[in-house]
Amino acid sequence: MTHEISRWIKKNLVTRYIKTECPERRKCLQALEEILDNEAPEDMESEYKAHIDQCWSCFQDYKLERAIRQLIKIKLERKPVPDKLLEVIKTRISESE
Amino acid sequence: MIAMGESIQQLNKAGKDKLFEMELLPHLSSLYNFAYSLTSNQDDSDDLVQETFLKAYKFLNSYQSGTNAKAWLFRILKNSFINDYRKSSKEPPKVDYQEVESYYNSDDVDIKMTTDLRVDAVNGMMGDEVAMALNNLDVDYRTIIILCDLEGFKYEEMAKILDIPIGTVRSRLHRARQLLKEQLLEYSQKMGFTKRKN
Repeated sequence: MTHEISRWIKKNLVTRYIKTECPERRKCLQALEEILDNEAPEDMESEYKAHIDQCWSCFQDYKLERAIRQLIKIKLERKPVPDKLLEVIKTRISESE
Repeated sequence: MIAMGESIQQLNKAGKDKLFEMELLPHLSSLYNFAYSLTSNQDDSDDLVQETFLKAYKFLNSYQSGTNAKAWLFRILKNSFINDYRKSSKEPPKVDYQEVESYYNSDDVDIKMTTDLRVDAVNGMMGDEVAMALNNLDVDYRTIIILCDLEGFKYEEMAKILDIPIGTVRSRLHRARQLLKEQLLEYSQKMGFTKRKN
């Protein structure tokens, strides 16, 4: 019984996965990178947005790629500049020709 | 900043100092963070930033006031790192981009899990974990992610800073992100946030 269920799940889920996989995924991923990097022309962005309304797998890619960029921007702490560094630079500049 | 018809070459020391202070020094924090991401060491970052500003001051005549000072400074820092720091320290292994490319053309690494789980795993990460994942990348990959995602440089600016064609910027950025994603998701699996899908 367990084997039967397992086979059914495997068959149906695998089939479903293939069906929902975007046939143009590589191209879509390239477009997505440019869109998230603010490098894409406006028409590419609007076309992509229309596409992800219809394409489940590309919408999933969009969510993940966006999450990773936000993670870097928001959670990566910036190192504080050591207190004396600015003064050292100014001193060295004033001593230079 | 500079009066109409006046060039940097015509400025006296006081004028140059003023220009330096107004247009270049405000980028200290970004430069320091960039230096730290390259060296992973406070003293080396201090030295690298100092050298960068001294070189910038020395070659101030080649800077055009009002243009992209930040990109200009980043380029000087990157060159100083390669010429001075990297040579004097243990040379890090060079990445074979071709090899990595063929490997990653096999698509989306070997971690297969639902995207919702991956998004949850990514959203649940802490700053330290992100920093660790980033630091595990080769310096060239780390650099391009920092320039793009943290400092917000455009592809064209990154091409100038790194002295590479714009196509290489795109491909290196893509690979760097794939590697980072792999690091992050592997880490989330180790921590038990997600399970490997069979």
